[in-house]
Amino acid sequence: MLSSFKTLSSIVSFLDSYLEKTHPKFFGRQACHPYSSLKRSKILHDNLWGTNRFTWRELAIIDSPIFQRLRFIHQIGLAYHVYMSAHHTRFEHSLGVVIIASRIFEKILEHQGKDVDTIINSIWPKINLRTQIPRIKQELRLAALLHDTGHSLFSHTSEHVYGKIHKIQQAKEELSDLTGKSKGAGEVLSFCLAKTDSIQDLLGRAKSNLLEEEYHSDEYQGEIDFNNVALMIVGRSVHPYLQFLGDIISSGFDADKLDYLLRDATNAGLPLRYDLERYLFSVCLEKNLLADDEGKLESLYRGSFSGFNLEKREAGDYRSKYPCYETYRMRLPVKALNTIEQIIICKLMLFSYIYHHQKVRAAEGLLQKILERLVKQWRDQANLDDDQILAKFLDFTDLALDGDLKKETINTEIEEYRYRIMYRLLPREVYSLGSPSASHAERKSLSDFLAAVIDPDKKITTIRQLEIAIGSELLRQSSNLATDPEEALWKAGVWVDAPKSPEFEDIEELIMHRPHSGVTIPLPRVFPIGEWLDAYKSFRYRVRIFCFSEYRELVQRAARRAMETELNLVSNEFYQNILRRR
Amino acid sequence: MMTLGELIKQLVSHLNTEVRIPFENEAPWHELFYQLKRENIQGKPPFFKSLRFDWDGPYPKCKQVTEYLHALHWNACISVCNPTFDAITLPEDIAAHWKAEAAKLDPEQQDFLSEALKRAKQEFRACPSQSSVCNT
Repeated sequence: MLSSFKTLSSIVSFLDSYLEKTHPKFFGRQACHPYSSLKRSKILHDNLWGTNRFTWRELAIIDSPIFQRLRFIHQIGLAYHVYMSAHHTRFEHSLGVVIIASRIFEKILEHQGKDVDTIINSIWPKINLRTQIPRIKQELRLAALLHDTGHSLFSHTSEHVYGKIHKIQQAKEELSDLTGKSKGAGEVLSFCLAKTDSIQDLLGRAKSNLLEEEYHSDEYQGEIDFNNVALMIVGRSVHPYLQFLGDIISSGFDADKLDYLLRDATNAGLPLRYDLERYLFSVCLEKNLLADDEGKLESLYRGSFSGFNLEKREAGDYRSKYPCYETYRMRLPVKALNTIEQIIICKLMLFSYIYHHQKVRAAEGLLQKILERLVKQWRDQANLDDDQILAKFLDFTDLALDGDLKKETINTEIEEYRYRIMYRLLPREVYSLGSPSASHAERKSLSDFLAAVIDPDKKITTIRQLEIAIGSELLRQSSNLATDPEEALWKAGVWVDAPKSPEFEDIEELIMHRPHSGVTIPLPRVFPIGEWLDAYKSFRYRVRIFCFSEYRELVQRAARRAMETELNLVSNEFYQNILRRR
Repeated sequence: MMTLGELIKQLVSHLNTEVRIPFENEAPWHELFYQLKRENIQGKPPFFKSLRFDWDGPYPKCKQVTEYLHALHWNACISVCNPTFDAITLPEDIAAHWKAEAAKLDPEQQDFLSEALKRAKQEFRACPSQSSVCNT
């Protein structure tokens, strides 16, 4: 499947050698785990989803270092600085996703068992249904289990940094070419991990070491297709008819979201809920289309499924002006609207209360600055290449903040930042700008700035220009602070923060309209979901200027002067509006 | 060189009063950008090379286009017709302000913009409003 994707193949090989080097007892030529005979299944108890059975394949992965390290990666990064009980990790989240993905699959079987039989018979006409359904279920569960294994310290905060490594950027492009979908850096690594020999060998050893005991009736006895597992992690599958499996793991209303929304809210102590029972009652399959004009999907299916022979429909042949495949998608019907609304509200509230909370952003901003400096240091001083830097990120978990990261930063200017995160000496918000901040007089100038901040080709330079202008003003007002603007910014802990807004992947596509009614009702007529999000964001989204508390007054003056000259925002009233007071 | 955001701003400001610019139904936007990327048009800005289209439904979708379009809305630069969120409208002062930026483009890019505007008109005109779809 990866033969023509050099970077992805290279990352898979790198991961195999990394795992062999760091965990030789588990992976590679000397591997011997699991030592003792394995039970065919075990019961694990989760605080959200209760008591659930996990199979021996899952247990072999759970008990290996690639999964155990998730115990030390907080699910919502540094949010515990604000929500003190938010110490839940990627470990329990990943197990939760297995449970929810399984429940969705079982409900689909319950509601549309015949459709699933038809799908399986079309794909594997010569193979018994009784073996194939447990097989795809097991592959789905393994994908759920492995979907976050690519994460590094403090989850998405470090992802922003290692996502900029050239090799990862290339891999993201290759993954988009391979699957016809754009995905993040963490997903690239999880995808590649699922493709390693290390995982397959681990399961091979586990299989040969099973206790001889009676097995559960739906236990799958055959071989796992790791192409399918890896593709589900990025929202695809080896066959267009199995697309619904990819939807269960990675889509607008996937098992991942269903778990993290409730888990994050519960652990942070926020009373946010949605109706999972109603979701499960409603979830279904819908026959649909996957357009494929660039031929990416055709190459994917031919490369990942041996004997693939499903014909692609000609352009214009079948409700699409592009060549396309018939597919089965996971859908929520309009009758599940209440649940859909609850999920969306829940996500927006979590963004507002947790992910975009100013102190959470402040802590994450500090960590990002530390990691960026470290990467530069590793490259410039230690001459590390992309693989070696990636290995550092794979070594790190959140424990590094008071361990490896401390060793790396000692006697450098970075140590001050690490100390501040450790002991919650977090920067303060000086100004906070959003579209409602402007009166009529500033509308043009502010819209120019905000439009540039959201433009992918201009964001970095726009923010950088403003930061450098603030740095220069700082020097002008306090010449003994530093020798250049960059140093002044670092010393005063100043940066301009423009977070990414909440996203819902193709959410409208995942909601089924009223089938067989003869009437096409566009979703926006019943639920203008995109605009709900926009309306919410326009009031909640903020571009912020942060600095260390001890430099607040100085930065307040310097940032105002910089915005006056750089952004042409001049009125007193505007600065009164955007100033953050204690 | 024109960026993705600048091209969208130019399309919206130039077509503001000429044609109904779809918002809720994003398909014509994606179809337009897919056409512009695929075809050999002189003066095409370099950002098209890095524009990626996802194949996850009946037509190609570009995440960057969706994100920018919506971000323009929630930044209150553009507004949409309530309650159906059918079409984009742009305040006249902002439209004039954005249009003025087009004069700074080099002649090749201005030619490209004219071609993009021509195609956008075709795409957008062919797109029925959501309310008319509903009434049929």
